[in-house]
Amino acid sequence: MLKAQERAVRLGVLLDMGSLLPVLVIAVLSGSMLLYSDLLDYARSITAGIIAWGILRRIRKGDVQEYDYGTGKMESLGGLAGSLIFMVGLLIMAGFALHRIFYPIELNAGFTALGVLSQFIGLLICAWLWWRNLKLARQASTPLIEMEWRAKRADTLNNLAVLVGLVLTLALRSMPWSVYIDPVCALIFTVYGIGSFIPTVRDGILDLLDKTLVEELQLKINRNLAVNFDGYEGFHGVRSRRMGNRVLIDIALSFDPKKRISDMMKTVESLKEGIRHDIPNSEVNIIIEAPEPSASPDDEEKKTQIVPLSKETLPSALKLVRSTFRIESDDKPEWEMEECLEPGTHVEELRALGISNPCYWVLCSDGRVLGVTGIYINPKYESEAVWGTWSAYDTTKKGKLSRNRYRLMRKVVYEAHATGRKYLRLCTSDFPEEKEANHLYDHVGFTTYMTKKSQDGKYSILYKQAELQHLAKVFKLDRIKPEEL
Amino acid sequence: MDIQSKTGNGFTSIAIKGRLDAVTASAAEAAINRTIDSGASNLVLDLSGLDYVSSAGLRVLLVTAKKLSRQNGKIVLCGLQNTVREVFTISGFLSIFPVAADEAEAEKSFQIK
Repeated sequence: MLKAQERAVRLGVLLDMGSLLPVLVIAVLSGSMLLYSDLLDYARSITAGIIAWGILRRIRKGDVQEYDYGTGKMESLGGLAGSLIFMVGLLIMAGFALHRIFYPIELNAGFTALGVLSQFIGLLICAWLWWRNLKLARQASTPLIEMEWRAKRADTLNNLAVLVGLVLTLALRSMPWSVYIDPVCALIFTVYGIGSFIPTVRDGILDLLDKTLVEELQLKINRNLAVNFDGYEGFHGVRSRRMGNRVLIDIALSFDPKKRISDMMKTVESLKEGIRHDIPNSEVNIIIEAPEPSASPDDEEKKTQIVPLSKETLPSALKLVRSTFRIESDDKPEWEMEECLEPGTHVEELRALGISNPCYWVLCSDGRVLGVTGIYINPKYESEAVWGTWSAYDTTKKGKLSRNRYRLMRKVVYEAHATGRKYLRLCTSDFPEEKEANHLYDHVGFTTYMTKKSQDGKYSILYKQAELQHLAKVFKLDRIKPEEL
Repeated sequence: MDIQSKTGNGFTSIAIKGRLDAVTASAAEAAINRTIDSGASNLVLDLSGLDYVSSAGLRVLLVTAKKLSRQNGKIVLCGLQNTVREVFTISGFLSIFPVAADEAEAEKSFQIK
């Protein structure tokens, strides 16, 4: 498609260049204002065409590798430059036409007739190029080809105006006022031409400034958010902008962690599809944010605190871990917790298990342990990742489960992020009791990068990871203070 | 834009006057959030004095509706002028929000359980 557009623009430039000299000779000999202004138009058209041709050529040859986000901005810049050149040319012509209205002259009849013939041929060529470029723009709209078909439409009308003006001037040359026909026609044409380029210039400027979409399109986005209202739990905003002929829309939503991933994806797809249907050339990106905890925690929730594991809370924390997970013979949560309280206690044994520097925290309410979580370093991957320890939640504490899970997960992300490493990794399994936790992990952006069968072959061990930079955004770490954790 | 709130029988009424657009949306959101944070979960938005609402204004209401639904709360709109109602209709927001003619009618919707 780019090649076809490039060919169309090149053809226009060559035809304009071929017509320039004959029109120049006829304009000088006839003295017609219309033909003079037509010369400016040719100059404008050739310049704008060469710019467009060069840009399309660069894009087609792939000489734009340095643009991560494509060549939309380059197309906009080219379209804007061409349109502005054209508008300046038209303004100059309008000035000449006005001058001729105040200081009219009589045209040379013989050369004016020659001008009529040249304009007629020009009219046919421009009308054909207008139709051809419009067809290309309908197939694949870009600012450059949009600018080109508008330019050819203006050229066609220009030729028509010049033709009519010259014919009328010749036909009515016995009338004293016929001297005004030539400049008045030129003025009408220039005003129309300027008006036709205003939308291209406006859109190009808005694109380069990354201006958001117009209100009509924003309402279409809202309509799709309303249609899918029951599918998401929280709405966190919309960002949109144009990039060339593309419309980029980011929508931030959050979902109920208990919701199945497939249901969540159904909503995401429905939203994307609806917007793509309503807004052609749109690219919709759904940013999934962590679900917000209840806006007004009750008194009991206010009393819960995440604190470092202590000797007093260790037995309860260990009990919680043992009651939540199926502990294998080589799993040693008690060593990890004891090492956390007194570093050096089990350092070598844990190192042999791939664990060093374990840190644990507990979620407490009135001295009761409601949850436990922590991080450690695997010496094998020391520089790149932090690992999540045993994380357990008191599921008998109904009603606040999601909030407690969220708070503990956020604490892990906060502490892991503070180490400056790239990944947070977790080891989980496909046991039914870990299903809800796995939902939460997948929901906030963890992916399973490795799966292993357990020694007895009864279940699978799932190794999950997520980039901490991503998790920091999901949990909005930049907006919370350490004391709020 | 002018926002005033008052407590009614089992609900809090927030009257928004003037324009609710990209310029005033954040102020409106902050005012509504303050009301919700103070414990209100049933809201009546009196829009009889609202002359214009943009897509940004509608999104403030969307955020509020989601926030209240998490707290088992409810939001009812009342007093929509024709121009404002048209924007709600075009954007499909009338399917999200119950609409009452006035505050008295909105109050009834909280009493019916």
